[in-house]
Amino acid sequence: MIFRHKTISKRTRLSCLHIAALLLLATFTPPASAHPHVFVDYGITFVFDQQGLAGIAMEWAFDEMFTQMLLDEADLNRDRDFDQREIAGIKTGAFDNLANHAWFTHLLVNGQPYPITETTNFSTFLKDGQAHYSFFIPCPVAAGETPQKISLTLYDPTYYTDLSLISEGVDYRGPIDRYHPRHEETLAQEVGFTNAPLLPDGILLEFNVQ
Amino acid sequence: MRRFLLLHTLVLTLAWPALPLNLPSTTVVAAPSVAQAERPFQWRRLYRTAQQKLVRQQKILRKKMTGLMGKMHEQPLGAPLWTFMGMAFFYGMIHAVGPGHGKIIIGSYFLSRRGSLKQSLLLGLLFAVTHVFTAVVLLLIGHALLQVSTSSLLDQADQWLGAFSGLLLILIGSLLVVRALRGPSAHTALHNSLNQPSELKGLCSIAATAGLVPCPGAALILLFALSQQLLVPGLLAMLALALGMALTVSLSALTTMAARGALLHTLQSSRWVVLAGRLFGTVGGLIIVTLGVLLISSGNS
Repeated sequence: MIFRHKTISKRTRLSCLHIAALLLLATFTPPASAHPHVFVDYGITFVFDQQGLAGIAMEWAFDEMFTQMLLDEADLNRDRDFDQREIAGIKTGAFDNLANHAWFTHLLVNGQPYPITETTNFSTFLKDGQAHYSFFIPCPVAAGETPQKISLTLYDPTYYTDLSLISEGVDYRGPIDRYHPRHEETLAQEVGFTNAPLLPDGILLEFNVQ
Repeated sequence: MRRFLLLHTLVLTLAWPALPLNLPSTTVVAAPSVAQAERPFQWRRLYRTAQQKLVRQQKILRKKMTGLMGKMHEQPLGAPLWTFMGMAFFYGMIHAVGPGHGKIIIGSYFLSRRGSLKQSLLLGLLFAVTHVFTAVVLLLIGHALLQVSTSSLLDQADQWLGAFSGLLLILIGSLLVVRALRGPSAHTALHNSLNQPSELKGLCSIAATAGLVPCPGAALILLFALSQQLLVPGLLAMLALALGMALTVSLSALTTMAARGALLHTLQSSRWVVLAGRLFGTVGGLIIVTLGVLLISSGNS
């Protein structure tokens, strides 16, 4: 036994107690989350149309090791590329399952949670040894004179997948001159997602009719 | 006062996993209050920052390991191989720091029973080797014999081995609880320093059971090595990875042992020492049972 039971001073006892408390707290970290095994770098494009925001186009780049696993699973003809049949297989076999996790995407529209139930235009391709997913999340928000605020973050609550925004990875598309969109890249906790695990990236978009 | 502090410590320890610090949640709050957003709890922020740094470090290491594997063909026994091995060891070390069931099971085991430095090292090593090499064996069998993809094999292994491991954990945890509750009489217990020593058989079974679920991180590295026709360096890296994990898990076990010892050290009355010993035994066993249930339910979800 590391500590023998013998007569000791009250002060030593209290010190032991504090040390014990700290050590136990350090050891028993919350078990609900896992450590990451898949790393994703993502870029996003806010897409506008004649009414305002139409949705968000995403591009995810997976790390090389997970890419190999995806190739192992889905590249049926082993040509290190994905054809239409293989893309369809990835969609049904992997991508569609992410619907259960809302594609790890968390959105607030003017402070209210916006449920993500569908995605469109899914595709996947290989670039520089990394598998990429590209898809679109519809999120129509009409523009007015009052600024509309969209908060966005991506995280996997189980932390199996780590998602990070690539540097200068936010872009716009569509008639943006009408809406003067501007955004801030910060932490998820600072744009309204106080329960987000660790410190994921957060984006706050604002736009209004000029 | 001392008893109150002890109680407070125990309550904190037990409540820690339930705190909403890092738990999955789809709940988001409405419009952020600037004051709230700018002043999160410092301890929470510190914890998150530390974990985030560890995650980033793992990402960097994985990227570097990928690059090194590309250079190994030119210098098979040169610097890339040794750097790769060193990185695999370091990756194992920090990968195991993240929250996971292994450390908690082993920690709970040493909370429930007395342990030694040698036992904690043995348990850490046994757990890490089982955790890594279950993945290695599955991957190699899948590739060589079954022509099955790694991810589907890991998924199935997760489900079946997870359930099996969960059942065994429930059994072991229950035994620990029963032993702690029935235990020797207060008189005998006092003579035994109230803490039943961990037996070798028990140590091996807990380590093997906790490590049975394959490590996806190890599988990913080995799979990439195989795709580069680097079987031997890949297997050596698995060994380095397991040793790195073992170091962290052993340190975690030692931490629990030290904490347990320190807590018992604070108690003056022998009656309290007996009660605390029994309480630790029961709590440790119950945590293992709970994790067993969680493993089974996560496999079925």
